[in-house]
Amino acid sequence: MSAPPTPSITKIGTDSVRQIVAGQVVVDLAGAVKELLENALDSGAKSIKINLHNQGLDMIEVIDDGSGVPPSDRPLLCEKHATSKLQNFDDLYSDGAEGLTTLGFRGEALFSLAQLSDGMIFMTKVKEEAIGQRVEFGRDGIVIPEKTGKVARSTGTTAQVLHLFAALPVRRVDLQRRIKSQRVKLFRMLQAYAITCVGVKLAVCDVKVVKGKNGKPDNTKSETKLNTGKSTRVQQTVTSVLGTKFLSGMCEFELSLDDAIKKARGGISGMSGFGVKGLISRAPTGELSISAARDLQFFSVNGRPVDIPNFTKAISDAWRNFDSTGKKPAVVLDVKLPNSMFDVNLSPDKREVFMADEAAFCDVLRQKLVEFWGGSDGRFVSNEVEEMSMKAKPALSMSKSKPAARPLAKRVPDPMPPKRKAPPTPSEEDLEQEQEATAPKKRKEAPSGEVTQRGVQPGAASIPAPKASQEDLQAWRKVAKDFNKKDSNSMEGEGEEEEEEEKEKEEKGKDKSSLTSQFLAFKQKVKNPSAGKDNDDDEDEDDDDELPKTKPTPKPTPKPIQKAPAPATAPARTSLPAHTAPPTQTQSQSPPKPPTPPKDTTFASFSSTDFVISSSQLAIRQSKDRKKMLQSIQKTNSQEAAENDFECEPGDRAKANNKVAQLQKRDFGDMEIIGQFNLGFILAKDNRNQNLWILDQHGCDEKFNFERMITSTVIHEQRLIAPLSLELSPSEEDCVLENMEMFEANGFRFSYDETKPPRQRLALTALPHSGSGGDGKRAVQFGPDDVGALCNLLGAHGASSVAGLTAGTGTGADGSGMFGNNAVRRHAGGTSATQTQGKVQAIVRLPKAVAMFASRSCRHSIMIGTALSVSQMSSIVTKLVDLEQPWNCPHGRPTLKHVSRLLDTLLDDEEVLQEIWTPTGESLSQLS
Amino acid sequence: MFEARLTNGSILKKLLEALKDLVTDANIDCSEEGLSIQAMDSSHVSLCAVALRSDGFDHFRCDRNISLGFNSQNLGKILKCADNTDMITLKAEDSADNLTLMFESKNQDRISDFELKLMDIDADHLGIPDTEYKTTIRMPSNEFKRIITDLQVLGDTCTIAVTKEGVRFSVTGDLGTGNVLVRSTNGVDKEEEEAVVIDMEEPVELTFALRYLNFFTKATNLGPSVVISMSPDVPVVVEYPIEQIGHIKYYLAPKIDDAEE
Repeated sequence: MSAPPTPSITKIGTDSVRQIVAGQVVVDLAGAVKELLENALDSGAKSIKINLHNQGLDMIEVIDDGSGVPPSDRPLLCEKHATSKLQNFDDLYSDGAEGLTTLGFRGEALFSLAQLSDGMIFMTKVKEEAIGQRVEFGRDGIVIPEKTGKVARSTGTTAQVLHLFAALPVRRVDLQRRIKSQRVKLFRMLQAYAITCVGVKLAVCDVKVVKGKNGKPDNTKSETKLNTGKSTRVQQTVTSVLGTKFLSGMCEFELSLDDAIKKARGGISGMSGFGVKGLISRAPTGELSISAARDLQFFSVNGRPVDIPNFTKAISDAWRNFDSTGKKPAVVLDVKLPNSMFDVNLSPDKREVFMADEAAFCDVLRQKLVEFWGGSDGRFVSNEVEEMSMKAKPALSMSKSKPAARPLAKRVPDPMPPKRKAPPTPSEEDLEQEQEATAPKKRKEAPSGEVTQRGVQPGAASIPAPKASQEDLQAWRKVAKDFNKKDSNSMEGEGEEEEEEEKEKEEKGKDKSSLTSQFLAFKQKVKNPSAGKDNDDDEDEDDDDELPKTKPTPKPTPKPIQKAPAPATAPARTSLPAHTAPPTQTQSQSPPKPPTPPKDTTFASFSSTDFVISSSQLAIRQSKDRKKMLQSIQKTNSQEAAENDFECEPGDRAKANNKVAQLQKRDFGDMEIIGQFNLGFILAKDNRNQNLWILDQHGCDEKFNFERMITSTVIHEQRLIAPLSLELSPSEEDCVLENMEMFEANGFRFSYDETKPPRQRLALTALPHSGSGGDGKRAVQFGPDDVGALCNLLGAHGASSVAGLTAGTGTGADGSGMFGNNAVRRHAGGTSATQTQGKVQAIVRLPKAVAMFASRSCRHSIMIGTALSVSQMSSIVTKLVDLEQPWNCPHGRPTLKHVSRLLDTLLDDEEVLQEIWTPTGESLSQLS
Repeated sequence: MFEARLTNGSILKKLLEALKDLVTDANIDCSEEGLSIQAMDSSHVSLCAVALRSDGFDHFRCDRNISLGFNSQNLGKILKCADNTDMITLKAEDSADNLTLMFESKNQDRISDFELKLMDIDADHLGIPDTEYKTTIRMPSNEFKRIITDLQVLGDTCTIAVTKEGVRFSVTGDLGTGNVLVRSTNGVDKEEEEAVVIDMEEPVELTFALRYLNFFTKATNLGPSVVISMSPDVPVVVEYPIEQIGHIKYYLAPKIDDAEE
């Protein structure tokens, strides 16, 4: 064949070039909106409105209140490769003042949009102008002079794109056909911008044309799709886009990359303040963790929303250490980097980004996250008394006839039918006596459970305990107020101890006034749950407005408790150093020969039997320690309060109710067992924050067994009688070869035969197995399918993992040296898994192995329905201290739940005291 | 045309019991010499080989070699329908899709026949190398079964060590350790079936997964004794001779030596 005489290479005509280039810049609806939105953001707008006419098909309109376009620039708006944002290419990567700070820089966007649509219209006004100007561009990007005119508008710009893709029929049809999915993509993108652009009000509206009926003119109807308010913090934007529930599962995360940058640059940096900052899912340690689908991960670099797959991967890697459910963490992170450290000029839509030394950043991030999540506490939805009290009332009356919950220990006969007014009721006499004695109601130092006596002879045992009758309530309040005014004495009413108390009194005097006010305010708060914290000032004279928003926590025993010569049955809810008595003892005491009518001595059903107060002696001795402790608790709580506040959006009531009870792992070591409930749950109180918890006895034991088994069980490697040839996809085969160590660590062995055709070159020579099948441990044989499963795990997150692969193989915690031990993630925590390269890489475990351990540990654990002695319960609870992740059972259910905040209760008046019981019982029975 | 009749039908029943937990699908290879089955478990860990000689059958005819692929669960279900005393006849055409099983009760008062649909199984036939084993143990099969069952309680692998003293089965697990020593009964006057005979060239010690040994003991009913042959680093052979007709052999690779790591 001879070459044709005419040259086959010719220059493409300018117009064609334009269209070709333009077609590449804006490929879909989301891209078009994004360009306009970025322009608006770059102009410094604080409020941006996006109107999508007919779903965006007819017109896209972006209205901002930015700087506007200066008159001289206007003709160039849709000129190709013209921009106000970049002078030199070098500016793109410059760290200095001339460096790029805007989202756009290519000078292509408007030109492309004009090329692809039926033209663009701008209405803009700069500050200096008196009146705005309307400029219209044709498809060629040239101003159409006859359509230029004056227009009224405030400073800023309105950009309109008419009929997107009208110039490209194929794309236009496609856009119309797939408008739904295009819009999904659009909104996902807008979400990202809405979250990232803190301080910018962003509103997205759909504008529909409603055909006018009966000859009336057509109307437009506008529907707001997304609206973010004024915001100063990323928490606020997240809330307005994703809701408070989402936010409640997130916590702040910050990581400085200064060191990594410094390293990457060979030790010289000169700059600081770079790093990663934002929100990230809480560790999966309790019910407040949110994990989410992948599309709830938002990254941005210097405010530009981008995708950073490697960060996603690093985060997932770290997350896998703690999560057994296979969910992904939600992330909102902004990466701040010097311009010279990254490159966004990769694709026209600028979603991709290259970072210098990205691998190092990933490592730092992964490490930090492992620490971050590893160190976090359990967080639980606090079972708020206030909230519950509303519901509680109907339940209360029901409980009259029927116990709200079963007695804790069946062996103990329920001494009395539970009463509605369960707490012992003080007689009027007693009350009077009290008043005379000006007995403090609220006593900070009253040891819980302590028998306080105020002006009553020992033995006569008045019980102005929690009680519901209205008169009593009133009396109580009065007493409390009296107390405040009088600056009364003695908190610690033991007659025998009076002298001691005198001294203490002096100390306490200081605290007293503030305590008093806190108490009153608190009381009030409880009374008006709906009113929340705002009404602190309303009523109480003494209120000094200083209340922390969560409960102030002096922790008085709100109710004096009957003093009996012998250890008395205590209506011990709450506060008590609940010394659980063996049931027999309880039995002997619980039908008390009470000074008060018998019916009043019993608490709501299940509480009645299991609490025995300590002897008053003990209580008194404790009281001093307790005072100190309480103060510290108070401190912690106010910190917590601050934290909660921080999370609360102003005026966000729902959020405010959603309080958080925290528990640290070490608290398990210091829990007091209160009793067993329903033969399935353990009630315990943590001594640090005075919260009442209910623990699933099976779940707790199961988790302990699970973690024990994971570290101690040997997974055997079984050689095969004949190699089992595999048929893998090329990528799987590659993955196996690449990650051979990981497979061997899991107990797989392969032979590789180059002579065979690709995809069949690998054959298994050994497989892992565990258990024998004869002793209740169900034997598990891993098979060829598991190779695929492992490939998936590695493939999804793998790639970079080669260097870190050795992690885990050498660190067999049980010392048995079996390869198979490493089949399951190393329980060494983040730091010990750190290898020489500084990689933290959890061993990828086989899902089947995890399932195997979960089912075995389940079978070996204490079952629901087993009666437990106090010591058994206590050992179950104490064992949780050393677990890596005690918050969920291996199957993902929570091991414990918050029942109530005892400090609050202790502060409270009897109304709440009474109410607390039913909610508690209720929630318990729900749990069961 | 293939036809084989076995008066003692219970042998087939027991054979399937011994197979079905380990092997899901297998081929019955029929030839003039008899029937043979060779199959690996699904994970290729162990191999099971059955041989039934033609002269063990009351009637045996096999015109040309055929393979009958069956699913052991399904064949087991059908064989459950036969009484232990029934006479069983297997029949198949040369290119048949079905295997006919006929069960005749002892006094011929009930004759049932079943057809099992056959499957096409392409199993690679393993050539089993002839190995001179360093040690061979013959012991009562019940005894072996009991040891395995006992040891399973403690752990999941079992070490079989043959020394002059005897055979020591030992296990280590979470609960503790266990050892069972079986002594040779050489010279002791015992029934042949109850004898423990150890034929040892040199001491051998190998470790095996109890799970698989346990599968093997399902064949206990097939014969009164079991023969265990071991050599270092070669799969162990656990053979149950079936009276007058053949044997079933299991092969299992020993656990890789711990020293390797």
